[in-house]
Amino acid sequence: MRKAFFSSVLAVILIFILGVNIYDSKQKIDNFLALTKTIETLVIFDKDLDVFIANNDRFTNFDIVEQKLDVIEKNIQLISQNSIFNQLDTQFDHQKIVRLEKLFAQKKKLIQDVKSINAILSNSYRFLPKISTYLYTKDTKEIYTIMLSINHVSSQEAKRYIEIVETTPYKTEKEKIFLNHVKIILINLMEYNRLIQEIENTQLGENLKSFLKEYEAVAQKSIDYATNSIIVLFVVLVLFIISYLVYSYKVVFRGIQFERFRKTVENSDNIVVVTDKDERIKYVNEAFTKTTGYTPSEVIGKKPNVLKSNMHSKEFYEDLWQTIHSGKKWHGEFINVDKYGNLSYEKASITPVLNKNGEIIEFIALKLDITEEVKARKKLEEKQEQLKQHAKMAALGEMLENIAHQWRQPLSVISTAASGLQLNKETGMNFDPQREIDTLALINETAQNLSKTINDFSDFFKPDKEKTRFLIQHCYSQSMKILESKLHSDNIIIQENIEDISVFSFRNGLIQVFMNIFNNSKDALEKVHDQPRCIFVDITKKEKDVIIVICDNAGGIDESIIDKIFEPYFTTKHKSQGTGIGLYMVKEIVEKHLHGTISAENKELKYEDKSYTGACFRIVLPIG
Amino acid sequence: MLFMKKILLFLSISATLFSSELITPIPLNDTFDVAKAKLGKKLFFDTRLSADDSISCSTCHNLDDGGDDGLSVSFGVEGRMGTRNSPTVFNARYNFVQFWDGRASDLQEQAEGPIHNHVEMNSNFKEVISKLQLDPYYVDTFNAIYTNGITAMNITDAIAEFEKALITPNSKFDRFLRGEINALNEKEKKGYALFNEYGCVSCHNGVNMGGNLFQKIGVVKDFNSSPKEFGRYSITRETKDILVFKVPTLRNIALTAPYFHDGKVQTLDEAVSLMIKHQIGVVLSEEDIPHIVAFLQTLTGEKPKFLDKEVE
Repeated sequence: MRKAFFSSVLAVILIFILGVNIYDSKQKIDNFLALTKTIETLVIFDKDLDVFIANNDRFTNFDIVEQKLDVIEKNIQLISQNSIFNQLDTQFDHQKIVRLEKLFAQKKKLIQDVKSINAILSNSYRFLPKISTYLYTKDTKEIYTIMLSINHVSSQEAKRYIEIVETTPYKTEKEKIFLNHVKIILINLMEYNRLIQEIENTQLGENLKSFLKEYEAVAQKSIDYATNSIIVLFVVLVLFIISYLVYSYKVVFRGIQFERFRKTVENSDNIVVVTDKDERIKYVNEAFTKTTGYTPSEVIGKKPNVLKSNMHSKEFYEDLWQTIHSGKKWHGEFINVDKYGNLSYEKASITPVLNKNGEIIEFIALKLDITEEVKARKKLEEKQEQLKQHAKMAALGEMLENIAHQWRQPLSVISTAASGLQLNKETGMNFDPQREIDTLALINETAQNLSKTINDFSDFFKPDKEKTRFLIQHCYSQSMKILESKLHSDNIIIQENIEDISVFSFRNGLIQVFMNIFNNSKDALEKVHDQPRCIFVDITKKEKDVIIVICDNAGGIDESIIDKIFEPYFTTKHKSQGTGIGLYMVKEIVEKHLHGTISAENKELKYEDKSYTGACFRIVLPIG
Repeated sequence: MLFMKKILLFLSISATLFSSELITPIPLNDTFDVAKAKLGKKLFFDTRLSADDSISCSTCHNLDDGGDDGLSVSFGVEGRMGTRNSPTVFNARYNFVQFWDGRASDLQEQAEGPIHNHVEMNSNFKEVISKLQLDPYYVDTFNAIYTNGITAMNITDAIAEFEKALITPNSKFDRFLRGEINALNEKEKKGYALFNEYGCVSCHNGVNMGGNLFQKIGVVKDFNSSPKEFGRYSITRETKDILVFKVPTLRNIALTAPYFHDGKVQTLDEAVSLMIKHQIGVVLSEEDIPHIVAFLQTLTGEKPKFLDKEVE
């Protein structure tokens, strides 16, 4: 605003100066022209005077001479009073005009005398021809002849003629009068010559001409200067207007941009809060009101801590304060309380705005209300927790089943041996101490075996705390050990092609993966009859990865559901049997813990020259 | 030769430049400031301009007559006698200088003269102004016209402005000049022809038929004047100016007897014959004089209109 004001003032001043200059120049030029005319008039009228002066032999209306003298006098006065001479430079000093005035006064005085002489001369000249007819003597006639062409005679000659005239005898009264007039003419001609000489000496005409010339030169300079300054001012003004237009265009353009930006901010779903450097709120947008319930007028000038929920630690706020006050941007999540006491979750970034000197002038906080998202996230977390529990329970159940499977046979061995021994002891038949010892040894060995199984299982349930280096076939055989009795009872044939590969990974996680996939295959194969039941295990190394491919020949997965098998709670089994989280857990373990990938597909498999369809799981793990 | 050529050139130009009529009629109207002229008229008739309240401008410049006093020489306060014949105030604006010796360059300067003159009004402006300031008319009128009220300059300015109104146009001769050929009778016309022929017009030319140059009285033959009279010499102290006077106007000449600077000549006949004798230097044939006088009598113009209008 201030800029615009100054610009306008500057423009007005420029235009004013230009106007003044143009006016001034116009005055100067007008004055110059008028004055030039005045001086030219002077020159012309002065010439007229010279014409009159030269004319000494005819009657003259002296009013005209007086008028011309008046005009000259007035014009010299005009020049003398003209202010232009005070403005012009010093070389054109007033002395010149004073000199002109003086010369004119001289000339005027001389002309008064010329007038008197002119009257006398013209009168006497006119009289000569009239009286000439009355001349009788040769001498007087001769003088008359001389006088006919005498109107411009030198003073010496005139003097000589006067002597002649004075000595010339006359006979009649008229001749006397004639000679008298001749004498008057000659005397006045001498005076006339003297006056002419004096008038010539005044050099008024020449002075006027040179005055005009000098004045023109000086005035031209001053006019040129004025013209140039007008041009310069005009150029400056044009440049100023252009730059002002450019500036205005920019301002308008910026205004449009600002308007666009303002609308964006106002209508944004993001909460926008602008505070000054003392954290007092200067601006909030509509989203702020929508989220917090506070209208702009209720919070402007206040600190954002009206929203404080006391859910954050003192350190949280200290960190926030220090970050933004050091000129850095802060990211984080707020738990704030709205006008009605409801908690809201906000994802926020606070950016300090710096001026040219790097000082903070305000803060802009951009916040997104994520209350709904946080709620959803919490729900999901709860669900996942449930899933985990389910998975654990399922695993436990399966484990118990496996244990039961494993233990059934050894327990019956123990039971049979123990009851045989008991029977022998009760009946006392066939008592053979060696046999008794052997039986007890079998019972002991079998019990030992059971105990070992417990170790195997308990190891399996221990979660991996950290990655270890292990051979992948050890991990595989441990899973097999748990499952083998079950697989065996179902007549499932295992086809193995396992390379000796050492990996750095989570061992138990991998075991769980194996067991889940094998269990799935076993469940599928149980439904297959009249064909051999096979599981193909292929573990190979490819560059930095281990490729584990586990297939069965149980007819494959229905193509319509093959995309969904890794989703939680998806199961093809009966509710009693499946939890729907087995393959979901596998995928979670492979991808999140082992950082590998898993995919499933149906494949053609060959066993003993016969072709079967089956499901194939392909796991790619980094060697680590 | 070059000089001659220059002269010829000048002469040929002069033929066109100065070929206008030697005598021009008085304009029927001429410019002046009416308000100032009214004030000037009051002053013109006001005796308070003189020391003993006895003499006004009109004492010596009788506007009912020829604008002069009809005396040889004028008298002033206490009957003091002047040395010169008072010239007419009519058409004085057309004189190139004022007074017989031309010591005032214009009417305003002239008006100052008699106020101070010992033998005329014998007063001074301090006295005059203090007298005029007692008169409310003057105080009001001066204040209305001038920013600085009653001052010496303003008094003479107003008088001069009044005198500018004192023109006498439409004389028989002026009507003749304006093309009214029958305005002059044969005798008068003959007189005009003689006026030119004798060369009177060499000095008495212009609108005022005189009053536009200085001339010596006695160009041809010495003029008998009072031994105390030196003419313009008293002003310039140049010997050539001894007995040189402003050539007087011939306008209203029939009304302004007696004639010449000393007023010694009572009749026009005498004045004409004296002029021809002393200035022209020819022998005058006696029958010419009445013709010339008849012509001169046609130069009486109408009284100034401004005087008609102003009825007190």
